[in-house]
Amino acid sequence: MVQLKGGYVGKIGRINLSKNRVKTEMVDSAFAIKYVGGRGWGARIIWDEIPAHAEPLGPDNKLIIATGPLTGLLIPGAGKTSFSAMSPATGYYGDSNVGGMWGTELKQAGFDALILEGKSDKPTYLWIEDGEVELRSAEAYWGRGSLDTEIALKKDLGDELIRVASIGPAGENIVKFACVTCDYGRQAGRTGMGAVMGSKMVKALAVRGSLDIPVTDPKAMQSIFEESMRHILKHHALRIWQRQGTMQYIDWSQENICLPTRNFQFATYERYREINGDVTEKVNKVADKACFMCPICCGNFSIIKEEPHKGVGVDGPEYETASMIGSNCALPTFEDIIYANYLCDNLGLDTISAGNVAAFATECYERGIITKKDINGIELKFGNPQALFDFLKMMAERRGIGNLFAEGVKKASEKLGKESKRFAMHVKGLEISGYDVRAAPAMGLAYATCDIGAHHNRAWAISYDIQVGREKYDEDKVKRVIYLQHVRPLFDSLGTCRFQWLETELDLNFYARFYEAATGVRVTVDDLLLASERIYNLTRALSIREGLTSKEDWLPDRVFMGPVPEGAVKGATLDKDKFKKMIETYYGLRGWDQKGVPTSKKLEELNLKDVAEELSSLKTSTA
Amino acid sequence: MVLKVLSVYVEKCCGCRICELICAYQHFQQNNPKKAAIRVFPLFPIPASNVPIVCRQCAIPKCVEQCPEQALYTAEDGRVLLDAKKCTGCRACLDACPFSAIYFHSDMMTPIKCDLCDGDPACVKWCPTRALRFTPLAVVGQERRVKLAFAIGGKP
Repeated sequence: MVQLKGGYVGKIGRINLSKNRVKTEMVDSAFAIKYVGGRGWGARIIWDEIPAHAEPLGPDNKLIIATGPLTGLLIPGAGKTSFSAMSPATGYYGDSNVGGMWGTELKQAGFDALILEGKSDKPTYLWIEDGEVELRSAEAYWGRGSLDTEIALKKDLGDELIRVASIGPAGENIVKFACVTCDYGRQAGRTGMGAVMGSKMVKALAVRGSLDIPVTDPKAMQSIFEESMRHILKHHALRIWQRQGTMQYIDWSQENICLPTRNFQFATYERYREINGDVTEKVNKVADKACFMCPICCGNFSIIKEEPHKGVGVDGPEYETASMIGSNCALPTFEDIIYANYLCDNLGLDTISAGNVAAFATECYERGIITKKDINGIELKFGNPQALFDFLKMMAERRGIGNLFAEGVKKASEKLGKESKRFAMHVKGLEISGYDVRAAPAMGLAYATCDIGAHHNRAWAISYDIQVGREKYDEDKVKRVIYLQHVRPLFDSLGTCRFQWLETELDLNFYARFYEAATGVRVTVDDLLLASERIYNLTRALSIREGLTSKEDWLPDRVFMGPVPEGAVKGATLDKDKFKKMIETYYGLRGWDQKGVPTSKKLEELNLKDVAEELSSLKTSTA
Repeated sequence: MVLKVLSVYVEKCCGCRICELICAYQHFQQNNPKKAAIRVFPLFPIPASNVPIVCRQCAIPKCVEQCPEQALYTAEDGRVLLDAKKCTGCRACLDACPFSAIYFHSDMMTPIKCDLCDGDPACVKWCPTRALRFTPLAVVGQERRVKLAFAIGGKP
């Protein structure tokens, strides 16, 4: 039996909100290692503890907030935390990963993870400090914006350096794409984790920790850290990342004709020069924003310089925000994007889904599917910033037709009728993020097969499409997507950011070495990737248990029927037959059957025998 | 002997806290940024900036003046140092310091105070944006002066 000597704190806080009860549980070492941490822990705890077909917004769903073994350690980018639950957006497994300082503070407060279960009957916030968790009344904060709540909590608790995770009105009102905001602007944005928190009536999680995080070999840790930093600090991409962060990708997507514009009708934006990285850096940026221990500091703090919103600032915008709320809603200026970003952050809306939903609603309006009367007289046209601002508030408050769109594009399009379904840009109920895939089959496959719905971060394969040829649908691309789906979420389990590896080419071996120095357990990169594959199969099994079928590993009609209207890939759509083949190949290479269900053989190979048994009993009961 | 000082360029700080954690490793071999002699304060929402607060090794140190046990003293090289054997942990130094740049932790009886890592400060070494510098006193502020000089007199 392996005994862990560090990395993990070794404790989980279980908070039962129905019973107002807090329990501290010791972490089993075998469990810790097998599921790594972060989303891996989240997935396994969900599998074990949440009954099949539990209502995502009911008391049986649980919100698992888990750091990884490397969170908070002397490792570049070690500031990450995962929020996992059954997603109210998709009905399937969901998680979202957030940076900032919050996770480090939680570990210093003596917990690797928190499990929020049950449901409170009144607004509550948690105060967590050095091994203690206290449930406190949040009456004073309920109804307030996410950022406003953080400011007020810090003031009321008398310490500017406590770390806060909070929801805004959107989370309270159970908007299906409500997010959790940490540290004034780092979001667990996707899959509606803020709605789950809101359904439990938990407004915020405030943490202060002063404890050591145990590390097996601090000397080795420091020397590996210094070696990794020497590599990163001399990498040629470092400076542009520090200066512009993800915003540099607006130009890249424009050049490569994959910048979603006007609800994914177009793949370039005529005003891209007004919303790109140069504008960020030269006009509105006032400070860098780094997550814990990150030399890349990709975050930018931007402030609006012109009236009417002069002086409003936001941690951001990021590429995803600038594309989904910017080009995709055709906002004319970068300052409009900053303001929309600020509204989303304070209201507690995921900017990716909010932008996608707003663009969908706008297209519905322009096509006459909804009328001016439906939307309180707002002229919801592409390029009208005031209309967008009003619409965001309507959704967060579930006011008028905002109530319908607060359900996300899938459910809204089902209500609005057939025509709108063709351009409801989602997979499995999660809105597609910032890349047009009509000339990118690998990226299309990544969206179609991503375990939480259409999210870019599992497998950002579009650069591979561009590298090897955008017209190809071959096995090589499928293999690449599968590899990325293992390596990228591995970081979400370890508790570090992927950018040090992805953007400054830090060798994966470093992470195996960091893991050993932290925990005392020797692992190889292959061991870690195998664990990540185990987790991917487990999240798939979770969704299969809820009724997911291969039909939903698919993309919206627009991707197949609406050709790219411009540029070097003009006329491109994805080819349905070739894409279907690609998915079949994907299932085969993954060891899944042709219905997309992980085979018993595969699951046993991944040491998930009990999952295999439950899945096969499910098959016989539905057969 | 040339006096070198640690200076902070607030506008360059990204708030990553590498300085905090490497300080704790360097001095205590512990993974605990709360055991550092430097702390970064994120200011939000306006002015949005990150401000590291660390001992400035004052020429006329109030902490030394106010220490009732003479545990704090100015060394020959200009550093303000702590003789932990004499210290009682009374926190008079913290009250005296105009920057409150002396830190306490419940695991320790005596304060955590910057000692410039005996001439090679780890925080400066690994600061990714060069917000922290360790330079001769005569050079501090030179970069800004040069910038200003160009603004005033620079012609292409």
